Amino acid sequence: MRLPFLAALIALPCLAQQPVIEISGANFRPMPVAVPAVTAQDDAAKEAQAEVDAALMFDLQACGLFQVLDRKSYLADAKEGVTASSITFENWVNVGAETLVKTQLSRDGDTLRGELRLFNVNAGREELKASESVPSKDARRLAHKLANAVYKHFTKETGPFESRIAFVRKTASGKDVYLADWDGKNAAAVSTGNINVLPSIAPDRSVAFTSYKRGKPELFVGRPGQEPTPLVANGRMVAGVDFSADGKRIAYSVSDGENAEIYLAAADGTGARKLTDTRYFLNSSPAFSPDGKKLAFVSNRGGSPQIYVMNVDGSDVKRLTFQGNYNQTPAWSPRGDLIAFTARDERNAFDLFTIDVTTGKVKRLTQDTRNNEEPSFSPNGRLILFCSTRGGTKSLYVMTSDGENQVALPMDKGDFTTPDWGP
Amino acid sequence: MTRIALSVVLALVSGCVRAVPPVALAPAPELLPVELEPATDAALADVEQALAEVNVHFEFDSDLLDPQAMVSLQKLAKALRRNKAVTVVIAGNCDERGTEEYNLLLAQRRAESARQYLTLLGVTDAQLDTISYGAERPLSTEKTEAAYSLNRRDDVAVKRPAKVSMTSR
Repeated sequence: MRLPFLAALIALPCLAQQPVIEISGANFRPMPVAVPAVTAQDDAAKEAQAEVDAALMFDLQACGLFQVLDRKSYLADAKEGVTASSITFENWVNVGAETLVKTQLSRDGDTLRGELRLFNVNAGREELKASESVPSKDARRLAHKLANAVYKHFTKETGPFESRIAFVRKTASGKDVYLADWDGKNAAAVSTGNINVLPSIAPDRSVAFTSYKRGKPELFVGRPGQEPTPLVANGRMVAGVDFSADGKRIAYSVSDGENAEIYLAAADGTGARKLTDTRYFLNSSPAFSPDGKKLAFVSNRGGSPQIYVMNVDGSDVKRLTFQGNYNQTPAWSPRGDLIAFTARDERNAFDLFTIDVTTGKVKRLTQDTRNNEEPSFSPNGRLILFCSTRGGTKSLYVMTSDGENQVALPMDKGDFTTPDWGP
Repeated sequence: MTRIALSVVLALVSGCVRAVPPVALAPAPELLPVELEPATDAALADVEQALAEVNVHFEFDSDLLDPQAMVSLQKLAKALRRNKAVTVVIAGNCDERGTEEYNLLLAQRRAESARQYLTLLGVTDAQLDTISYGAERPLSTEKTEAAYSLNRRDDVAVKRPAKVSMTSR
C-alpha cells in the first residue's frame, strides 16, 4: 500500500494538467475503487436508490478505468458517514481500494438530487464532490451524470455515460430499431413494425435505418414517438447509412442489379452523388472518418470483402486489410487512429479487430467467445459496443478499444443486433 | 377505385415502355393490350405450377445458380413466356452467418442471378421483380448445416397487387 501512496504524491504536481489515469498504453492499470451502495437521505429518495446504484455501478464497471471491488469484501460499517472526517480510511485501505466513491440521494418534490464524493483512500482526502439534479423519473440519468463527473476527474475527458445507442431488436413479426441510453436501458422504438435494420444515429439523435415498410428496403429517418419518414427511397435497396460527425452528410450503399455502390448525399438525402463505380462488385458499409474527409468501406473488388479507404469525393481508393477473406463493417474511431471491423477467421468464427489507419497494424479484440460482430465506437473513442452470441442469443456487449473488460449490457432478454453508438 | 385502376394501368404502361428497347418500338402497340389484361386465373395457375417446382439454392457465400436451379428456372421461364400478364417477385435469402449488410447485398445478388437467367431465357423485364431479405426470412432457425443450406435460397412468388385492384373494380 505504501507504493501507490508515494506514486500519488509524486504525481501531485502535475495533477492540474495531466489526467490521473492514463487510459491506454502499456502502463495502464485499472484503478481499484470501492463503491458502497448508494444511500438515501430521506424516505422519498429511497425508491430511486436501487436504480441509481445499479446504473452507477454498471457505468464504473464497464468504462474500463476501474476495478470495482466486490462489496462483500468491504470492512466498513454500512452506516459510515460520507465526509472525510467520518470515514475510517484504514478499512478501505485494507480491502485494496485506492479510491472510494460514496453517493447520497435526496428528493425535493419531483427533483432527485445526488451528491457523489470521491476520496483518495491512501491520502484520506476528498478529491471530488459532484452534485447533480434530475426529474425524479430520470433516476438512471442522475447516475450517468455522476459517473461522468468521476470519469472526467480521472481522465480530463468527457465520459460516455449520457450518450445514446441505437440497435435492432427482433420482434414476433420482424425487427424494430430502438434508441436507448448507452447501457441499453430506456429503449424506445424508432421504427413502427415490419423489418427495420442497420440503424445509424445522427448528431441530433434522429436515427436513420433501412426499412421494408413500403415493400422494398429503403432508407427512413425517425425519432421515438414519431412516424419515420423516407430519406432515400427510390425503389432500389439502400443500406448501411452513416452520418458524418457534423451531421451534414450521409453515405450509404445502393444495390443496382448485381452490384452495390456507395453514395454521398446531404443529410436530407438530396444531392446524391455516386462515389464508387465497379460493375459486378459490392461496395458497402461506408463509415466517415471523424474529420469527414474520408470514408472507410467494404468492397469485394479484390475477390473477397475487404476494408478500403477513399476520399469523400471517391478519389484515392486504398485497400486497408489484407489478412483473411472476409473483413466487414468498418467503424472509424472518433479519435481518428483506428478502424474496428468484423472478420471471419480460418475457423469460420466471426471476431472483432482493429487496424491502425496509419501503420496498418492489426489487433485482435475478441477470440473463443462464439461470434462477435458489428463494432461501434463510443463518442470519445475509448469503448467499443458490439454484438456477440457468447451468451447463446445475439446480445450487446461493451469493451475498451483494445479489447479489455468485455461486459454485457444490462438489457432484458432478446435478440439484439447491429448497434450504433451516437452522441 | 377508378383512380387506383388508372394508376395500375399507368404503372403497367410505364413498366412496359421501360422494358422494350428502342429498336423494338414497332411491336409496342401489339404488346400493350396484352400487358394491360389482368392475369387470368388460368394464367396464374399455369405459372403457379411452375413456381411449385422452383428449387434455387446456393453454396455458402455464393450467388451462382447450380444445374438444378437452372432446370427449375427453365420451366418457370416457359410458363412466364406463355403468360405475359403474370409478374413474379424473386426474393433472395441468406443463412444467418455473416454480417447483416453483406447478407442483404449477397441475397440481392442471389435474386439478381435468377432474374438475369430468366431474362436470358426470354422472359421480359417487366415480368420480373427482385427483393433481398438478407437473413431475415429463414425457413429453418436451427443452427445446422442442413438448415443453413435450406435458408440460402431464392423464393419466387406471383406479384399480386395488380390482380387485387382488378377484382375489386
